[in-house]
Amino acid sequence: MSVFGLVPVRVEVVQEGSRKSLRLRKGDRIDDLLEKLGINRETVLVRLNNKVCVEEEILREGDKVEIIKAISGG
Amino acid sequence: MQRCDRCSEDAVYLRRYSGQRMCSEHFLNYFEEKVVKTIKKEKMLQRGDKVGVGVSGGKDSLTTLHMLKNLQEDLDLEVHAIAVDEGVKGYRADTLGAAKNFCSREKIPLHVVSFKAGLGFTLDEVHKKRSPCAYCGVFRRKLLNETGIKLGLDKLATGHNLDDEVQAIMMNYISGDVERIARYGSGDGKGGFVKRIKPLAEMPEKEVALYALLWDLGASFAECPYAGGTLRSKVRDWINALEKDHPGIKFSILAGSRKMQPLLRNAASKELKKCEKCGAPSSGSVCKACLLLEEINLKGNETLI
Repeated sequence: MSVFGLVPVRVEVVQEGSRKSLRLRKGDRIDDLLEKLGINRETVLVRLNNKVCVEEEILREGDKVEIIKAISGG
Repeated sequence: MQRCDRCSEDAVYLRRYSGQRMCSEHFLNYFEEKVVKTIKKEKMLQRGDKVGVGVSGGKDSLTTLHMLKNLQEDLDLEVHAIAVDEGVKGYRADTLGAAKNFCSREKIPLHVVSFKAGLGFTLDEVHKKRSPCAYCGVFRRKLLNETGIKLGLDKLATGHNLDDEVQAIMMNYISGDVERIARYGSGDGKGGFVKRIKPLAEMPEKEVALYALLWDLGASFAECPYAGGTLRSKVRDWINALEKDHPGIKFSILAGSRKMQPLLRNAASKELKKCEKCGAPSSGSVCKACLLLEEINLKGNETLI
């Protein structure tokens, strides 16, 4: 726990073939993660631990989040 | 996990404009019912129709093909797929592969036409004079229509979704093209055009992507390398930013445009003529495809007046 009383949560994010580990606040949802990454939720689908889910899901320690681009051009 | 509003299964989709959460099964049911409703409402299909679907191998076209294939028996349809290979290296081969796999699995005849064979050049070879999108849409429509006529199709279906429709409407407003706004979506099959239908016109792009993913249609999610930085991509980002804060705005834009079209058609639309060069229907004396072909065939620093 940080001095501000916040508990960090570490999640693995997979996007367009790249993987990264990100630290979020406890209670953060997928919406919050997308916001932090500058991604409009209207443009993506998300798999949480290999299952398609809604962006309201709360993220937990060790979760794997796969962000799939839902819009295309051309 | 968040639950479906209609059963106890995990939710896979929150439809923000209605606030409804859906599990996989209820989402698929909702999607298919709505597409069928759109087809009936707009009288897109008649029993026994020979229908061609323009396919790229992406989620929109494969979803359209999947839907029509499922309606084939009920409506006694003859379904064909037509793919246009523009010749974009590192992109089209992958998406065409997805189209070929799908058609082979579903036993749907696939007809592949290419810019190279049909027009004498690839998009990669000619795009330097203008934005590639200026050529691509015009020539794709030309080749699809010509192939549709050769195959004797009654209808030509494309995978245009709600987002595509709304982007086109806003782009026409932005460029002040009142005639095109009036004409848009009225591919009525007159004067040398195979009647065009868009079964996904009322389905948001995100829902089409989810449908293709849940059905595991094997669609390619690749993006055309020429798509970035275009007016369309800017309009797309702008509309999605509005939709995020005001769910349902895409439907409002489509509905508003449909209400205005009858008024605009009376006030601004011109009768279609026959292109002097190729005989295709055209709003001017020479069609856009022939104007672009003439431009491509100019030498060096010549310009078309």
